[in-house]
Amino acid sequence: MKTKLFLFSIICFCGIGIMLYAQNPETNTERYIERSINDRVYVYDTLTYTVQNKNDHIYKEVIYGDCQFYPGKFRSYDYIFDEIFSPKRKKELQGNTLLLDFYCDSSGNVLEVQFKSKAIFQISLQEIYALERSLLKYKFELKNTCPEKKYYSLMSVYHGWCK
Amino acid sequence: MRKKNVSKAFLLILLAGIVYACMEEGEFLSSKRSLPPEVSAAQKWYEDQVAGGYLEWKSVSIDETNMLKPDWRTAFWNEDENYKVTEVHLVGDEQFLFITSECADKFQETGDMRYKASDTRLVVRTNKKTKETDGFIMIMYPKLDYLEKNIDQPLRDMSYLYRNSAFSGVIYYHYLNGEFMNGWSYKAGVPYAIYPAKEATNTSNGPLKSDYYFCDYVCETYYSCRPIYYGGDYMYDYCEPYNQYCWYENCYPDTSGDGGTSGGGGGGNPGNPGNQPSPSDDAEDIIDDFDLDNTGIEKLNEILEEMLDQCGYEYVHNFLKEGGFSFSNARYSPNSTEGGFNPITKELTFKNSSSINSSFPEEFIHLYQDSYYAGGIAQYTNTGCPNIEFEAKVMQDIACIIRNGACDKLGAGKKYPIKYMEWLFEITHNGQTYPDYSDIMGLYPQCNYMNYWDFLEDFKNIPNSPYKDMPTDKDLIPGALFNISINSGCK
Repeated sequence: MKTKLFLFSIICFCGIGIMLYAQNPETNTERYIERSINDRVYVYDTLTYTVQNKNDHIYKEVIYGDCQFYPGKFRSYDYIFDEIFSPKRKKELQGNTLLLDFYCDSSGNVLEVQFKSKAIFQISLQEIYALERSLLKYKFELKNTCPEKKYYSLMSVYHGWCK
Repeated sequence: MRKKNVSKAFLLILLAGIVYACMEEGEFLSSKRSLPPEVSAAQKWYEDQVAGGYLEWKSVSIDETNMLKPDWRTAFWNEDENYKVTEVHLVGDEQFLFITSECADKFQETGDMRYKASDTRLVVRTNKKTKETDGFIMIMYPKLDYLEKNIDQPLRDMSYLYRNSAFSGVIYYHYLNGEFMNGWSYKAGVPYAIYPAKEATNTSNGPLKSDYYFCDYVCETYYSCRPIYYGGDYMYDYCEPYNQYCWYENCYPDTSGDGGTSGGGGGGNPGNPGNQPSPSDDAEDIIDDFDLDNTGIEKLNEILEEMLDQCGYEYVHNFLKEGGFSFSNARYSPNSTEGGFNPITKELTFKNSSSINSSFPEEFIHLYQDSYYAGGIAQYTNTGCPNIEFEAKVMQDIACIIRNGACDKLGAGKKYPIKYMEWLFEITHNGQTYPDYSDIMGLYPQCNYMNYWDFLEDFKNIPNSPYKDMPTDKDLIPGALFNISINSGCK
């Protein structure tokens, strides 16, 4: 009986240990993958299916819930995708969506953008690079911004491949 | 060579003859030709109302009068879903012309008559439903900046029903007996009510306290001119500065005495015959009374229309409409938060018109929650308050993420804002469907095994959070949210 209890305890501790280890990004080196293109390095998170520019830092500085601003009337960014993804590529990506996580200044200029999609590994690095470049020129029409607030975060889902 | 000159002279004479004939014929035709039936009906209505055909129109703030008469050659008509409207120039031998001081100065400087752009029109309006007809005088003139951008025809695309969306200028309405009805100062298309000052004086502009409003006091000089009919339109010449007229504008409520409950900037408006925005049918379905100004009503209509494009909000609107649930009133409350819903009085409040876009969706959801939860949400002033607030924010975020829009992560907390966004993406099946109970309460490795309750706790800790010390009611599941998921059919 004692032996059984001992073995059971070992299994439990090991299980918990493995779970904790797996969730800790610092100890799980395979979770994050870096890929370079031109002068940029992108970090892929294989657990959350996200990709971001390694130099991004503003996303850490945004404070939430401190200002009731209005994102303004949404101006479609579909034209950016139309320029980057050919009809053939769109067909390949059909059924997928892409979550765009924008970080802007108070004028609505996009300063950083991060991507999340179940199909993130089907999107080429060149496409990510081109998307980031173009979306950094996109501007939101923020209204009711707060004087003390420096950065604003907005999320948006691109549904263009679902059509 | 001689032959050529003779031909040229002949052609010139022929051309001049044609031009002359057209001018004569044009005038003849315009005075003799049959008018469109709508205009004829308006003319008949006018002749029945005004004996002798002349209107005795008084100036805005003094007792001088002009004798004016419609020139039916200039009549035109248009319509919208509610009204058929005929408009026609009112002219007299001498008549008052309203232009701004800046335009008058510019005219003095340049001699360009186009700076004297001003219209005085008779408007005859027939309600399509009731078939009732009424009429009034509309005076409009542009401000200098707008005039200079539209120098050739500054008032051409302006009518009672349809305005240039960028119009800056002034529009007054008078009853046919000459009494002032109401007036609006437009700034880039947005109308602000103005109130005529009875005592025209030469005092300089300055804030002035009226009964309930603080206002700016503005005076302009108007001119006595002779109208000239030219090219189908009227211009004015032989203008002499005549007198001053004054009004109050930029009025805002005096909240010093009654705590801001005296109503909004539009509370003192007289009846408005212009194309003052009226609440949309969708807005009237869920709000009983409107104590907002034009800007407020426009913004409310706009945001509601935008919201109803989204499945979740559309369901909530139908739920409220069919259940007979509504806000008792919508008004400004300058001393309060950006937006508010009082679950006891059912009143909807906004700090000002700029707050409407950002705060209305949430107050709309609070009304829905109040209607959905047995006993309403007034019972959750402390315990359960964070549940109600967080649920309202998650509902907005979900509605936004499912469509192609920009969403401001309303429910994001202090510690896990990015995880919250990832969770939203997960529970909506990558932004594609409305989540159900198992989606919202599920645990996902990519979201650190956090679910609704964890994000609610994180939300309570946002900066300056009023919910920090309020207990979460663990028995109060987000039923209003699930109701949408089960019954809306939103996919």
